[in-house]
Amino acid sequence: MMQKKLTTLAIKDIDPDDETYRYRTTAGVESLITSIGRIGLINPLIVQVKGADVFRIVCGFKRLAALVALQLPSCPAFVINDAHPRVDLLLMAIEENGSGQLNPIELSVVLDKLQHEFKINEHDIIHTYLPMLGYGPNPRVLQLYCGLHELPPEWQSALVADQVPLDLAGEILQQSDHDQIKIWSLFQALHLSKNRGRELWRLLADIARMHDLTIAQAIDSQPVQDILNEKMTPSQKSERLKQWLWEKRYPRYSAVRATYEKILHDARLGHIRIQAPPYFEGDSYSVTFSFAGEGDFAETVAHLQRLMSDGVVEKLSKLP
Amino acid sequence: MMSPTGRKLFSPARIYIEEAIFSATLTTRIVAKFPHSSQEVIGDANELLRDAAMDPVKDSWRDCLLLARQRGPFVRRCPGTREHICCLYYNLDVAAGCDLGCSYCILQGYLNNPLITIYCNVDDMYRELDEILSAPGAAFYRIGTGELTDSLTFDHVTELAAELVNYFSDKKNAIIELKSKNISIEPLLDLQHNGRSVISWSLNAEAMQASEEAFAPRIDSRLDAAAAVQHAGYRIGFHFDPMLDHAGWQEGYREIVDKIFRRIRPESIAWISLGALRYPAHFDEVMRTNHPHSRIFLGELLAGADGKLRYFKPIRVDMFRKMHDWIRSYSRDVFIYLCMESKSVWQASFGWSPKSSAELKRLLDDRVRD
Repeated sequence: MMQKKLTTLAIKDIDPDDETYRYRTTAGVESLITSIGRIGLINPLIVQVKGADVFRIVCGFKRLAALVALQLPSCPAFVINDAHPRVDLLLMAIEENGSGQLNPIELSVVLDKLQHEFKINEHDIIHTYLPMLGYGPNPRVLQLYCGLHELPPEWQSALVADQVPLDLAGEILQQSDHDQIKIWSLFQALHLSKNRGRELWRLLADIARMHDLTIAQAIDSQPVQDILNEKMTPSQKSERLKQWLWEKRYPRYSAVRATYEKILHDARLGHIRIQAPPYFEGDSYSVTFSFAGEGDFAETVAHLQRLMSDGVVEKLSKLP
Repeated sequence: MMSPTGRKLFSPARIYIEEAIFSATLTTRIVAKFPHSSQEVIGDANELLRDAAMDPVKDSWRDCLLLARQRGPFVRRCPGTREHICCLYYNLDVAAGCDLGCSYCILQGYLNNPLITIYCNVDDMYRELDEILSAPGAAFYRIGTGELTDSLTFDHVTELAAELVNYFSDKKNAIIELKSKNISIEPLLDLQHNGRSVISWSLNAEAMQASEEAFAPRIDSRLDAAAAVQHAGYRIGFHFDPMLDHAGWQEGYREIVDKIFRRIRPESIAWISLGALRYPAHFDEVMRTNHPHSRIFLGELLAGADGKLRYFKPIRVDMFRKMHDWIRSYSRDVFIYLCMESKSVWQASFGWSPKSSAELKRLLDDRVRD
């Protein structure tokens, strides 16, 4: 059982810059200032002895900020001695805050502290600490979450708001600071959903590698900027951008696809629908049409025969 | 221990031995080869494999070896892919895992495990082979050990290659194919193989060997080894699989074809297979994660009906057709086949196609049948 002593501490003796146990991302202490100003501090801080008459916060960073804002000289606090294992205190802080599962950035901070500040090895983190934090003992959790707290604030907020897929955030983390900001601007401009964001990112990243460009250079390229500057909705722009990226990423397929679409367009198919095999991989095309009565059917069959005699079928069968 | 080309041969620092095969002859042989390795007897190999798969520090398992009991059958038919012509090959799973580190290796996706496993209950394996090959009306079998591992990369550990060559030497309705990128062929050179073994090498353009086959011997060394087994009277197979679309691929692959026919007589070649890079779509992320510097994922790989990514069909056809023509410029008789392709790709690439997987099997069987 952890020994903690309730006492009254001078606020000036608590080091506000010691963030050994800080992991939470929630900001804003205004409501807390109002509440403490009106009825006082109900939950004492939890602090740890740091040195002679110096303490570090274990639990209560926001409360301390409110107390400082209110210029109060002292506060009640539970004091824990400095011999106590720091990793236990971090877990206690998480438990005390009791607000359910950590958000991705908080988990990233906690994992970073476990690994780098408290020097816990990966095996123990996975098999001992992840279950304590409510996760399965799976190395994939480490791969997905480590380092996310180093993303720019915009990306962090989007992750916390569940607007960006975790695996994508991990890839963004590997990019330069400049590229991270550029990608964010693109995502913002296009209001991308998680899936569309992942899809465009993969295309963009591949194209950048294919042409030895940075991500920022790819985004700043004239065709991309032209699409972004067109008078269209974000959804239309993202569709147009996806199409352009596909043409760059899969140039030979896109060229065949364009020929195929031109053949169909020139053939004036009306209500007949011709479908090529996916990616022209198979051998069979499909034709669908609807008809109302014998006359309509005969007219469609005649139309199909014209497609044959006009060489449309031959052109299609030569693709790709 | 070093290979003839100076590559460090796999030498386990730690050997895990599953209790069930503790007394097996192969276990004793392997353990005796590595007296300085630490050893641990374990009850259930599957538990260890689970631990290894879950360990984030995969490298810590790379110098470990698991000696285990093969629980399933040793002999399995190649699963093939629907809608494609398959050569109806049989795999003999004597080991799982590889130490060559090739970026495109499908084992990364299938095994999800860094631990190299050798199945030591080979008495069961020979019994199973006896039953299959001597069954009334048994068909002709082409059997290979190169599906879940490289056939020769652990031969300094197991010495199974020579054993298998000897075992198959008197079989009338089967051959064994040892498929490898390695060059440890000395144990095979003086054996009485009776033409029942095909020694095969996986080849690639040299630029791709250098960038994508991290620890595999150079192509010239593989061809030196092929020339040595040719001299020992073996028939030889070459597998250009996976062919990789890259800048300069035409010169790169043409050069290897030239090198083959400068060293190897066409009549010594049992077959040459061609296959283009392909893998299940979900495997894309695994390869990108494991080999972030590789550029092979940047090809025009598109999803087929079977869920696998393949190069856009005209790219494959162009590669296959040119390879076919280059090989044909040296020999009209060498048998060339495609791995896992449709009839239309065969037709477009070679100008003909087997009518069925059964026909392709028969054509391949005829290459090695007495």
